Amino acid sequence: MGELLRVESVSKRFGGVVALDKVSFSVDEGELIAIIGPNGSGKTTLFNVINGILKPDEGRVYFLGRDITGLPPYARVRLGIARTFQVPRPWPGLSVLENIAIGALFGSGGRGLGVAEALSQARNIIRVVGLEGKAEVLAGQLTAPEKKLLELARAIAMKPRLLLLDEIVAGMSPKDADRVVDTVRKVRDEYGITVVSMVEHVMRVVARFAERVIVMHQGRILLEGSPHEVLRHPKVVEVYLGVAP
Amino acid sequence: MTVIDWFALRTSLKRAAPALALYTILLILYFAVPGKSQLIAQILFYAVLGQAFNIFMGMTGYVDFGYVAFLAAGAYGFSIAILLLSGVGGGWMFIPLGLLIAAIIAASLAGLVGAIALRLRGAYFAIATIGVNEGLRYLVEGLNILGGSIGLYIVKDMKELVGREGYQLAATTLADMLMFLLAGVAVLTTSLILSTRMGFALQAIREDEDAARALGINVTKYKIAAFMISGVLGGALGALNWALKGGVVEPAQVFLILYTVEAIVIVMLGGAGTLLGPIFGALIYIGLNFTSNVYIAPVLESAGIKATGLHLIILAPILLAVIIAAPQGLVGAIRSRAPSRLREIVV
Repeated sequence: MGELLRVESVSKRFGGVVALDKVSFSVDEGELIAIIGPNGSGKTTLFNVINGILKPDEGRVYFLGRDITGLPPYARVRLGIARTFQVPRPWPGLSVLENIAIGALFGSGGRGLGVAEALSQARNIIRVVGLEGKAEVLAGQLTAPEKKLLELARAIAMKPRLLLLDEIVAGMSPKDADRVVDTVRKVRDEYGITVVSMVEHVMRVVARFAERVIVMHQGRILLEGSPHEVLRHPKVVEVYLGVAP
Repeated sequence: MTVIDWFALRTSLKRAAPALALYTILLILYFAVPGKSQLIAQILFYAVLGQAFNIFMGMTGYVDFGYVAFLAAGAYGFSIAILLLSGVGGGWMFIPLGLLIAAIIAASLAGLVGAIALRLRGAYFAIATIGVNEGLRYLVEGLNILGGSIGLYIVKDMKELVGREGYQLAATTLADMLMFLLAGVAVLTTSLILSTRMGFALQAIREDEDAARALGINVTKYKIAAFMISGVLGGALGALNWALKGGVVEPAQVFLILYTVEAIVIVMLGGAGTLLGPIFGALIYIGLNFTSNVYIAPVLESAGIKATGLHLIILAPILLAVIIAAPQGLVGAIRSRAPSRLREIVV
């Protein structure tokens, strides 16, 4: 398995706030990674730098060995980087099927793809994520977990090599969270998509979901390792709960 | 796209059929109802205005308050062609050449304005486009170019080109037939866009532009493309309506912001982003206008009440009610309540 993504000493400032401070890490193909860290630790900024919504002030981002730091988001999507949003953002006035078909049309396999083919791919993916029977429903009318699954389906339709999941399970019941996590694992196994997800608080999910965990704090990578090592590490406990008096 | 997407083509023809049928009915009424052909032509003008405006506003959600500038660009473009041919000859060539120059000028204006203003969102875009329209108007009047504030009178030149009788035909039936043709082109263009990847991209932009951008859609490219297509159709409409049919292109008329407002009203009434919406919008708008001017206003005036602009007073509460009760417009409301099989048809 080769290296898929490499982030090299990336920094990003917003005015006086340092959101990312020389962050470096790399992701191998086929990995399931969770990036954790409290609110404001720089996870979302890191995601936005990787998918091109934000340009870093310093540092480079490499995808499959290619420097993509200057590429716009749509060009990165064509190379195979897809993402979901923390608060799901399906296109509410379009049907579930249309939402997913747009993913197929404009994803990395979308060039020259016909509308009929995109719709049929979308129908298959609807089954994979378990949204059968919802194809014609307008996306805005779905429940919150269903919207999350739709975002996942839309991202899969884009045929990414790297899937960035922003808070896959925040605010979900344990049952819904498990359903989403299982679907993500299934997607990784069936499609060979590398998954990097950020998780703010739900440590139970991190343990269940990730093979490697990266902990962020105040714009830096605090440490990384297996879920077992990381979640018990005193530094991580300190970051989340503060120092014992 | 290298290969033709037959599925998209078939879908777009299916979608266009109801709107094309309505225009055919209007065409039959144009010839069949004596003395009402100009009322039909007026409905047609506003339907095409809505149709052309809708390609951009309905599909992207951006409101171009300076839209009438495209109509003006087309009207001036058509006149320029006539002035170029005048003295040289060329006969009926003035119509295709005029429409071509109208389209080129409107497309250039759209490309130029779009490349700058489409970087702005929402109200900022709307305000910037008003500035474009007013700016162009004062440019023409202030620099005294293209006839300045007096405008261009091209009746004489058209008569020289195709003779008195030729002109009589060109400015009446032929102009109206070309307008019907333009309506068909506008419908087919809209349905084709809606059924291909461009339509999917534009709808995604309308629903959530940031999500569209993050998910691989080159939003700037599609917005500018839609803006240019909408602008070209508007340009052709302005050329046919003022230059060919009217024979006069005056800044006070062709840059009149009222037309933009009317386009918005028609699209909102009928349903933004739908194919049938602009037709119903125009029918309601002109129907109301006609009823109040021809039937209600004379009654009030005989009672000593001056009733100019009465239709606007009637229209305002109707528009408010539609926006509150059915924000997607009449066709949009029917469509969202209809079962999905019917939804395919009512677009």
